[in-house]
Amino acid sequence: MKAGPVLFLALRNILGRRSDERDLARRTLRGAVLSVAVSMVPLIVTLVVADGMIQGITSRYIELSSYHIQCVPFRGQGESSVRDALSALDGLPGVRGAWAETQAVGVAFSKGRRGGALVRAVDPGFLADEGTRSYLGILSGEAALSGPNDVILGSELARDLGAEPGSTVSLISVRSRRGDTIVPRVSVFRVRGIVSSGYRDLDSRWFLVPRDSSGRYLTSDTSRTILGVKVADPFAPLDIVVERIRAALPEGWAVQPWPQTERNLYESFRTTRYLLLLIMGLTVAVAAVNISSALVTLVTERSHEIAILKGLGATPKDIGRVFVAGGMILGFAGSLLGTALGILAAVHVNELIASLERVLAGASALFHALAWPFLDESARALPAPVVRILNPDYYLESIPVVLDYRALGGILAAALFLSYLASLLPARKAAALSPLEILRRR
Amino acid sequence: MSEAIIVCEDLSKTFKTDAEELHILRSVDLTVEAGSTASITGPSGCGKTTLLSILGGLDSPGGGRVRVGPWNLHELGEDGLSEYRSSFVGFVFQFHYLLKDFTALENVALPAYMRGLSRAEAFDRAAALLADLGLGDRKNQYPGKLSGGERQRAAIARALVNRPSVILADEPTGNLDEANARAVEDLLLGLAPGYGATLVVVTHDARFASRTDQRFRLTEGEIEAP
Amino acid sequence: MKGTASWAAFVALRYFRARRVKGGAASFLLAALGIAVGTGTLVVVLGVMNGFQSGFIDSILEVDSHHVRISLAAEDPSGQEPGLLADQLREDPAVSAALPFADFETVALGPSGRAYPLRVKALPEDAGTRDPALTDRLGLGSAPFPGSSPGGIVVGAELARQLDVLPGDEVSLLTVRASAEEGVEASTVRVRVTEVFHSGYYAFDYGLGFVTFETSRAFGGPVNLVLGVKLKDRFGDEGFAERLPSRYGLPVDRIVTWRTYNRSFFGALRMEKTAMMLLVGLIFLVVAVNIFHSLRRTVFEKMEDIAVLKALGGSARTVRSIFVLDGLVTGFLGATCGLAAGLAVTMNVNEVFAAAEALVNAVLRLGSALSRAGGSGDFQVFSPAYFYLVRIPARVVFEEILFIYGAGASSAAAAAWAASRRVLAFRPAEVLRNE
Repeated sequence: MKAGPVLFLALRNILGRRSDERDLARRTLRGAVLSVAVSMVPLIVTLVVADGMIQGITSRYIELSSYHIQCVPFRGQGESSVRDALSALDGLPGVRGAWAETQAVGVAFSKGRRGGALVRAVDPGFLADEGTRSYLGILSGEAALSGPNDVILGSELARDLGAEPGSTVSLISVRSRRGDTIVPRVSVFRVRGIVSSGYRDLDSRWFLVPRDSSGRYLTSDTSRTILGVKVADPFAPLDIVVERIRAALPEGWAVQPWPQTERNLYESFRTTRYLLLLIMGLTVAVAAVNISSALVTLVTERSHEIAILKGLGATPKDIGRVFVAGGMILGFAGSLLGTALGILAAVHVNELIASLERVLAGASALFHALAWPFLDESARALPAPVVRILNPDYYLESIPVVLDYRALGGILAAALFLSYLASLLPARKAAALSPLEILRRR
Repeated sequence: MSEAIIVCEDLSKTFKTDAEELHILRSVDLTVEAGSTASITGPSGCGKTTLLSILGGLDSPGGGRVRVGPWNLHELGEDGLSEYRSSFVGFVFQFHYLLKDFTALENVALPAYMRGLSRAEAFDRAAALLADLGLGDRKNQYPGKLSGGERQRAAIARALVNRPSVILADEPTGNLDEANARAVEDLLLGLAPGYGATLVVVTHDARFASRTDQRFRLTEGEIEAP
Repeated sequence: MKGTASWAAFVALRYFRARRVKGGAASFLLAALGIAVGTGTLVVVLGVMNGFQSGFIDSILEVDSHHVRISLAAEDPSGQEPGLLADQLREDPAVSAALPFADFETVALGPSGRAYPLRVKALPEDAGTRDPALTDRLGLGSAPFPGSSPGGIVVGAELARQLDVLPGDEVSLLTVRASAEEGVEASTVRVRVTEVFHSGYYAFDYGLGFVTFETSRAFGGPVNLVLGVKLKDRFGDEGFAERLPSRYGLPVDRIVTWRTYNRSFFGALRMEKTAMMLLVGLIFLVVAVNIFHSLRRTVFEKMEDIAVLKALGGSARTVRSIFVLDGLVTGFLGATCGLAAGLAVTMNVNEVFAAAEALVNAVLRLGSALSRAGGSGDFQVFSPAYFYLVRIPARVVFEEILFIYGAGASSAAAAAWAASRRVLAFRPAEVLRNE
């Protein structure tokens, strides 16, 4: 039989509506499709949310901190060679912007409070870059460094120091001189703004200062200087631009695209993502079993039709193919439905989480209200607990929705393959039915 | 005459189909005396089986009153009916309806076991009954291996195992050949004296009917005057 | 009614056996397998998550947050006065350790001149004997901690690696003194690494150091002294904190329990676990759908038997329980197998991962040999290059296991309950009609 009649039979005779009312097999089929759909939801939600988190966090890292491409000097390079390298990158095709940054650690001090500081002496052009601006959340003040003593603080450091825009903050940095003496240096800054990246690990210790005047307190032996390059699309292959930069730069610079710079972060995310997808995939495998048992029901219920088809000249192989086709149609319908549901849930994951938070907060408020008469004074003094599911300290506060079409396609293909495997057994059962025996029984 | 064990007054039953209402039983008045044997005859579709199902608690009366022994069936709910079925009546179907996954012994023992006897008691009682009915050496066979007559005798044993006051038999000889039919007939008619039970049998067989103490004829949903 | 349950079990067993003979066991086995997969997966996933999380939680509690923190406004950084309160608290039967400490944010410089941020904790000289759980967590064994040698520091293994120092080497710490009159004055102080600790928690191993109060004098004030109290039962924190003000005259606003202090981090950990439980738990729903349909088919096929059983006096509820029993057996069998397998994997999670990695690597090597392309075959799930761990931790929490087991078993029973609803719906006479 050709594919046409096989498909027709699969759709009409096997899966189609029957004239008799109580059609158990059809309900079982519906159950199988639904359970495949349900099983796809965690997988798709995990995929979309994980990709969204990964892309959200990665974007913040590369737009705000590690740049798209980093040029790192092999040894400490003088300020003149940094200038040479920057001018070599200027106007290079594919390079959207290139800035020098010097990094060091220090202790920030304000009104008797202190906190460890990650000093980033940056170019004002970096702060003005649209990629930087789109991810840099300004909590108060402004994200600009105009004077040599301006500083922008990360939110947690600002909280530790009790600093606000306009406050004075001292930075104690260390300079080491040749001959082993380490000299601390105190510099005084005025806070221009307090910023947040939306991801605590990244911004908690930021102490952003203008680079052109940072030579006073940062020396090359206790700090490192890099060149940060941004391109038009950091998620497109970077090989060509990297090669171009390598060729343009003078000797003594290593060029790293961000996947290399943030390799640890990226790989640990990737491993976690794969493990989660693998675990969620188990549910789909279990759902494929439902297809198998639904088809077995179908073979029993439709044995008469199968016998007639065989009587009309269908070979056992044809019958088997009809059932395999039927199983794959079920699997496809379920996966498609589940993918749609999963994407819907993932797209609205922020709203879902928000409403889940509301429900939990409502439940806890209700509990608090009910428990009120039984609480003693000290317990009443406590505020009602605030329930937050996605705590912004540890997750992105809002998850961008990212659809990885290749992964989605891969998942659909895997689901189809699973349903193919699931329909093999019932197909063999159907193929083995003896038409004579069945027709005689009627 | 002894007291009445079954009393139907103005019993009716209606079935609804998509197209019409079928008045299977219109107004049945029936009295069967305790310890007697009674037969109900009538043309096909006259409602004999429905009447017997109602008497057996397998179906609920549509209207009127039905009393069997102390049980007012028209007042009983699902739980009451199953209590009644398990303690007061034994039912023999035209088709044996033995459970095919159970041996003859297990089939017979099951109602006693269900009623709350210990497993050993139930099985002892069933074995004794099967021996009584001449199936002592066939008791461990599955229904599929029994002959038609043997199956019906096992079904009768099952109806007797809870020592019911009333035995209801619906065409018990309908599927049997002549010899087996006579044997089952004799067996059933011997129950009243042997086990102290009242027998009500629905049958087509005029000769079987003629051997019972009370004879009723059902036509168009009503009992004809004898 | 006596014996109802036993006859239902008798019938259920018979059906079960009959089904096995007819080869219909496949659907039963698949359903049980589904429950087993769900139970096993949840046990392993939660076990490993617990392992990671309790590692974090224990490290944080033992090393840094303690169970109850009492802020002391002591001017004297030597720890004399708070020592008195600590001694009093140690007498409390609920307390296992009480340790005054102070935190300093600073910068450490190694011989190469590279600087790293460092949080230094100042402790009494005999902190190790006062709080053995702390030294245990740091993997320092019975060595005196932080030791009485003046000018010594104990640093984490990661920081030591970054600074390129070994015990005996010197590092420079930035110290700051600030006063209203003189402003901020900074200097550096040299300390000698006496010991390197390894807590397994990256944030500590990379950014925490321990000195004695004596050494910390060089860092200057002001000092925020905290008394860290550890309890014998860490969940007794709220009750203990409530007793403190009346018994020791401590103001309420100076007392923080560990659950409040770490609320956001521990809350995030719990959220992760709940989300995993929810998502993986859907597997039970999928299996339940399967059981529902296969049992409804069975009920449909057994309609005549059901009618007969009812006709013989079986109540609808008891007849129904025959089928619910089937679901219960499926559920318990599946959940038990899944639990056993899940526990076995959880207990040997490192070996299982190693075996899986070996298998993948063998396939990779075979593939690269066939394609003659260069392939190293060094696949590793939690590569130490990207994950800060030596072994995959796992921890089984009895209550969770019980919950998973119950959910797995009862999902099958619930499906059976729903599938056998039809048993209630009809009278025997509807089915048992003469031909």
